[in-house]
Amino acid sequence: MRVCILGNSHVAALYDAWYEEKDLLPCPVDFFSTPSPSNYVKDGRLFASDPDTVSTNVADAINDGLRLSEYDCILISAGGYWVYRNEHKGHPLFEIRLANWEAHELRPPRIVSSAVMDATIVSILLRSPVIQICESIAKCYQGKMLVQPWPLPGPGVYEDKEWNFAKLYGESAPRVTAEFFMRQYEAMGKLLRQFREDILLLPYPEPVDPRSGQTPGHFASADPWHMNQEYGRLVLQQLRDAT
Amino acid sequence: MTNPYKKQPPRAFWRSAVAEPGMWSIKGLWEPSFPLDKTSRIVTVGSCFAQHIGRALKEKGYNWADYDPAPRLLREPLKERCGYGHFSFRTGNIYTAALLRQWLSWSLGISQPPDEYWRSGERWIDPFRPQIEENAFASVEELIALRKQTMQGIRQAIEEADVWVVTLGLTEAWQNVRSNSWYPMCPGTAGGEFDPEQHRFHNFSYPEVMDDMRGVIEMIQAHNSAARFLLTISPVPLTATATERHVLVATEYSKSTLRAVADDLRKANPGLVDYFPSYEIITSPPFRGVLFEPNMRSVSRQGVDLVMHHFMTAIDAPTASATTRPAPTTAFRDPKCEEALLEAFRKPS
Repeated sequence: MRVCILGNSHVAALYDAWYEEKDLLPCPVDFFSTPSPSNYVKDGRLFASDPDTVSTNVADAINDGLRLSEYDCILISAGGYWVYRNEHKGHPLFEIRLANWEAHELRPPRIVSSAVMDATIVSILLRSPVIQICESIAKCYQGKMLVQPWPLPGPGVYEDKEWNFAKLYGESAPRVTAEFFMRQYEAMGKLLRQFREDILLLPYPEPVDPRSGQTPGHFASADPWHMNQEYGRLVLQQLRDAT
Repeated sequence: MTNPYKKQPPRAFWRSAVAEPGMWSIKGLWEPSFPLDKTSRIVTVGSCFAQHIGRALKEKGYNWADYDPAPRLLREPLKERCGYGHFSFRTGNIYTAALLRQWLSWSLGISQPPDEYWRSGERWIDPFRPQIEENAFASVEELIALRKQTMQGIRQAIEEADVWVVTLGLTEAWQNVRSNSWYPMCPGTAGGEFDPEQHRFHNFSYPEVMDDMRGVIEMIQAHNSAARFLLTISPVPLTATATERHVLVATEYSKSTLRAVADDLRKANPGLVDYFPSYEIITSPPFRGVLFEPNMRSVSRQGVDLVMHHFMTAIDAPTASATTRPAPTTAFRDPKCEEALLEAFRKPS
């Protein structure tokens, strides 16, 4: 059996875990990731739009593309929309909110119904490079496909007084994050199954509880947006159990 | 021998203005009585036909104001389905002057919406915009919060908008006699349950429509004396009448009443209220009814294009002339018309 783990920067946690504990997965594992993937599939191979940004342990994949049919299982890491960061503008939760999400600003985000929030989330997912890659792969790949959902942020982010999201939503920030991520998770599952009925969206690995709006601190890396090797280990265990 | 007609311009004579040019070349139907240019902040509100006006203004680069915008990241086809972008506010169709006055009154805090919400399974319908959410609202709290937001948008428009383009559609309406509030649709058609004890039919008379429209103008002017009003009458006939009359006759009563009110308001308020003849373009004899779809009710794409051609010609390019059939717009979408739901009730149950 051969496994491929591909995607964005969240692949790093999985790679770190695999590197330290190769018998977590008793089979060859190839990695292919780009920080902000706008990759594409052509003739059954995955290419990076910007080859200079690729991190991979498959030497010729950068130029020749990754031949997808060589794998029995592909795990895409990680699917969904990112958690707000101060340096990234245009996050939907600064533009829209649900009626019971109290926002503390002179001009709070516009209220939308839960149905419109869900429709907006689907719209965002459809534009997401990782989801687009899932769709492209689903069209040409017959093996097992798994998708890891975007990790919830570490708790440190809620303690950051300069984090604009916390300034906007105050004490509700974890709840808002949780609700957004849970809606996103559900929407993503439905969307992926439209691409291929048998695509498995992995649950958030225990002990992570998405209702908390955060990943427990000991799984977070140096920054609260990315997870560490321990988290990667949890996901690799999920991969192992699913295969 | 002289008489006043000798001083009338050619457009005052049927032969030179209508019969000789033919339907596609009639010109000068409207001369705006106040400026309407690309700096004017324009709001559109009213019955389903008003959606065409807002869309055309936006497409032509006019400052069509949307006070209830869709989420930027929502896909375009979904924006319309979710009730965004049809009018300047997410009120749904406002068919009567009374309903428009009601929305303004709520938005200004003069009166309050009643505590009335229609259950639809586990979800909730807003009786005053029953089809604004495709699958109704998740909760009453959500319904109220979103309605409040819409009213805030209306309030902002009252204070800011330069021109209100109001398309009046109907004189027939249903009222809740306990709260004295007006519905856009009869309860039991797009939600809710009809209760003869509390739901009353009313067919507005000329004095009543005039009173409501004066109320609308006064409410807005009280907050923004620079606001101007462009009235138009929807040419779309009634889907159904609740009177005892034939629907064709009931339609003519409605449209005639609204038409008379519109013109009398224009005459009484020069420079403040104007009238645009979309109704005449679609329904009057020179156009021979060809601008309707085969159901003789929906306005065809060609009809909408002709109306908007006259509108845009008058406000946009005074030197442009219509000598040929106008080219169709690139995108034509049927306006959402809740009234069409009534057609379903024609069938025997």
